[in-house]
Amino acid sequence: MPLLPLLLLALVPPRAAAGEALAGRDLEALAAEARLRSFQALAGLDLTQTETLAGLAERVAGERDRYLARRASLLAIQKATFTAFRHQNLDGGELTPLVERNTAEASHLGDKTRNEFVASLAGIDALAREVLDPGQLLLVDLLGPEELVRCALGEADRAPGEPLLRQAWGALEAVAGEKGRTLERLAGDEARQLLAVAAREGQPAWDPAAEEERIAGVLERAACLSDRAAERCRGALAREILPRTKTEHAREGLARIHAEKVLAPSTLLRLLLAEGAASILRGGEAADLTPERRAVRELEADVETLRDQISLLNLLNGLHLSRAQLAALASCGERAAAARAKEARVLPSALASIGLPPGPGEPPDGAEGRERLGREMQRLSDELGRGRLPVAKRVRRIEAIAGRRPAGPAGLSPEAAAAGAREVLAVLTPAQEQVLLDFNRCLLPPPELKDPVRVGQAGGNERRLRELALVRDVPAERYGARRAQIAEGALFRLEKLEGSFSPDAREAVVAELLAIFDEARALDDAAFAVRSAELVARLENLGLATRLKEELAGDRETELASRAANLLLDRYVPELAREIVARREQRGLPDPVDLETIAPAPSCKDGKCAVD
Amino acid sequence: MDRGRGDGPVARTQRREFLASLAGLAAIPALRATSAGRALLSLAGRDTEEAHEVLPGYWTSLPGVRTSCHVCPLDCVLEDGETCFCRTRTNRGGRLYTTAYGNPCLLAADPIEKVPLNHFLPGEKTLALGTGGCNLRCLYCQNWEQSQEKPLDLKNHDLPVERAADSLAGSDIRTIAFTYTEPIAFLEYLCDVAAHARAKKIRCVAATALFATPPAAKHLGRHLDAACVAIKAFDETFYDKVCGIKLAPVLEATEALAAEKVWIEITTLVVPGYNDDEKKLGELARWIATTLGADTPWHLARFVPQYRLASVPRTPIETLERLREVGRDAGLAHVYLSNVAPHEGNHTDCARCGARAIERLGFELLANRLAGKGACPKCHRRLAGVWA
Repeated sequence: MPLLPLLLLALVPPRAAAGEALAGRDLEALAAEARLRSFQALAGLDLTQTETLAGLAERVAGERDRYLARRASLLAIQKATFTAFRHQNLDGGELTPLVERNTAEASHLGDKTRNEFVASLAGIDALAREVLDPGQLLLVDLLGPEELVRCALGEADRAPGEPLLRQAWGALEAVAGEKGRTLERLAGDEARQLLAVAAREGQPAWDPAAEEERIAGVLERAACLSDRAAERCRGALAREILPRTKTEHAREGLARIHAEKVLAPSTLLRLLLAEGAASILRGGEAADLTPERRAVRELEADVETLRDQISLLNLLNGLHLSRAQLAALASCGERAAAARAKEARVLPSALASIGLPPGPGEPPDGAEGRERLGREMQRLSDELGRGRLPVAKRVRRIEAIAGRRPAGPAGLSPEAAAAGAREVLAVLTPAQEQVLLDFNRCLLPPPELKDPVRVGQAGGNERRLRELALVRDVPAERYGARRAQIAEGALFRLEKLEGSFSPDAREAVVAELLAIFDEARALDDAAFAVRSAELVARLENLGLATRLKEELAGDRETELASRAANLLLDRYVPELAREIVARREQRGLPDPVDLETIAPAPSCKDGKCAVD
Repeated sequence: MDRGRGDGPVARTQRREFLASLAGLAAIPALRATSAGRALLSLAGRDTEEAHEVLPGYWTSLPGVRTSCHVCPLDCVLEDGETCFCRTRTNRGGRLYTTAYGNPCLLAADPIEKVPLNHFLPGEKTLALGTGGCNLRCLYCQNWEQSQEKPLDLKNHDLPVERAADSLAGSDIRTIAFTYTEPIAFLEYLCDVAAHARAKKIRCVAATALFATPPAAKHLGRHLDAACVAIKAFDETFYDKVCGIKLAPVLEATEALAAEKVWIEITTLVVPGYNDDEKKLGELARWIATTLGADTPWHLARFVPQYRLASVPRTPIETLERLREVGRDAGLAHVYLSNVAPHEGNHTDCARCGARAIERLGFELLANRLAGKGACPKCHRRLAGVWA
């Protein structure tokens, strides 16, 4: 993995440092400033554009201030409820309904408020887009804010090694400066060639026709880029126009489904949300964080930490680890942390000579490190603010070091991460491995982890089965008239959970829903009991997200190793695993109940056996 | 009464609707069309020729239109119109009828491990059914919404005896499980379903607390291939205060059932503070080992707050693990932990060499390494159980 992206990740401070001030400046505010200045430098905004965007940034700031005023109280509620939830989760996951409900409501309210805030910015986003030309829009449509910094730092001389990337690079070079019908024809030709190379390289596009149209469209817009932006962003854009494979298509689909539920501001809005964005755009100083904003940041960091810890506790509880396993897992985590610290000490010393912050992804060590990081970021912002772009020589030197010391996830070398993952897997049983494979990050644990199906307990009450049972209960004389309405309702619920279908796909899904419902109704009770699992599976397979996840499902061993590595590198594992063990030891076993004192079960005594 | 809800031959019967329908005799043909309706008619004295009496020999007429039931040790004596403690058998004009017959309120395809049976066709699914009613009053009942109601007060499925087995044609299900509530409370229906099923080579199993007279237990055994008997504690006080019955008849009935060559597994739901005493459960383990055999699987199930013990916390896993050792020390070869997964106590290991023979995640079978008719994959000793 090249070091450069990781170094740039280091520009965005880790959560633990988010609230820490640096000589009056906040690291995150500094990073936001760097991102906005990078865009400014690459886009080459003229005076009118700058002034209009600055005005819009002021409006964004007004909306943000209103949102943050609400958010502060919401975060305080979330912190209180999540803390109570975490506390119960530490005791083995026996959650009281009240605490569980409060947690769900606080989380939902936070998401709802955030979605409302993002939606309130939609109008400003549209106005801002009207200001930009197609080339400038291409930058914010295709590249994220962090990528813009990476480009500004000097992608220019990045020589693509692999044939497919080289072809994409060449396509971008070919269209540069072209116009009109020549451009249209050229873009189409280049797109087709790129698809052909992708097929030859064993990375065929999932949907060639759609991909040809998409790539040609990007190429046409790329022709409008300024020379400087084209040169600096060519590498990033080349990666964006690579034909989407089946896996990438699935990942994009899942990201789209997620974005439907959790609204996220566009790249352009994220840039305008930078602290003091209007001032930065007008060439002035970036604003410092107010104490109120800093307090919100701290609350955000606390809530995010609680979310991370609760999700981890859900997993640890669901794994039903023994004390010995918990202790072993904690040791694995501690060894990984020590190794990470060791590697991080080597890396900064090597990087110090070129004056760049330590990486990869690790917080700079101590106050001195943070000061140094802050100074470097300030220098970067200043350079960008003066319209200068850093020279590529600096980047090449970084990559040379990266070539000697490839970095794995979260600061461990790939070898160390793989060895650690093996250690983690040695602690787990095969059944626990299966739980680890099935686990998804969550605030509220899913039923199978929280309250497993129990021996002898009456039938499953799963959502899909309940839905089928309800459809079966509709009287025959009403079903005919309400059939379509029932299917529409089911489609609505399906899309809410699993993502929206295209209009064409929607028609086919409704037809399948009706077929399943009709089939379920045609069965008598016994036949339905026998076949319900199959019908439920058919219903579930209709879900877009379910289908996309199936497409993504890869090799079990690789996935398991990756999840084990993530568990190893979760910085909260040692702390939480040891706390669970300590609590188990403190808790002891329940005292015996004096059965003579309890309200006894009714019994048949003195001949009084009959019930009414 | 057919509420005409579906396109298939489905009916839902509820008592209040029946009572409302009694106003008109026009309802009778419709009622005769379903087993639930027939049961209702029999109770109303309108259709006694189709009613389902309690098994002959398991009840007696007493002077003064009274009856006495002998299916379970309670020997309920009923006046005309009264219903047994189990809520399923009613005296109508001096004869004893069952309302559970043909009225399962619970019907689902479950893993056989959920019964629980770990040494009987592992990994297979079973058509599981249960009716309302039970002759126990366990304070922690996991299915109290059904067990503590009369069958006719529940929403029931229409399942004539032959339909249960017939519905399995073309599916990969080879067993019917009488479970969820107490099969002794619907013994008459169980026997008829099982007789029809076994004629079609479908095996039948049951999960039962087995508070039955020895003859009833034997009668049950003649219709079963396997059973999981819930021995809830080895403590008369617990049985009396928490379950409302006695322990001794259960042990006696279990011995009677075992004599019928039924494959038996034992389950005990461990309620923290109530029945988790090591000494007493050690005695139970030794009773199992000496009476039923050391190869008899013993399931220790984790308690989940329910019904009248909703404020009691779940059983600590440490308690279950400790009791698992108690069971092993008593000589039992297979002691399982249920309602906690993943756990080492979910798997089946060879009693001789300790090799892992079956790996499970809760009820899900992850791997079955048994060879042939249940031979250990390592030492080839045959594990006790029914494997094919």
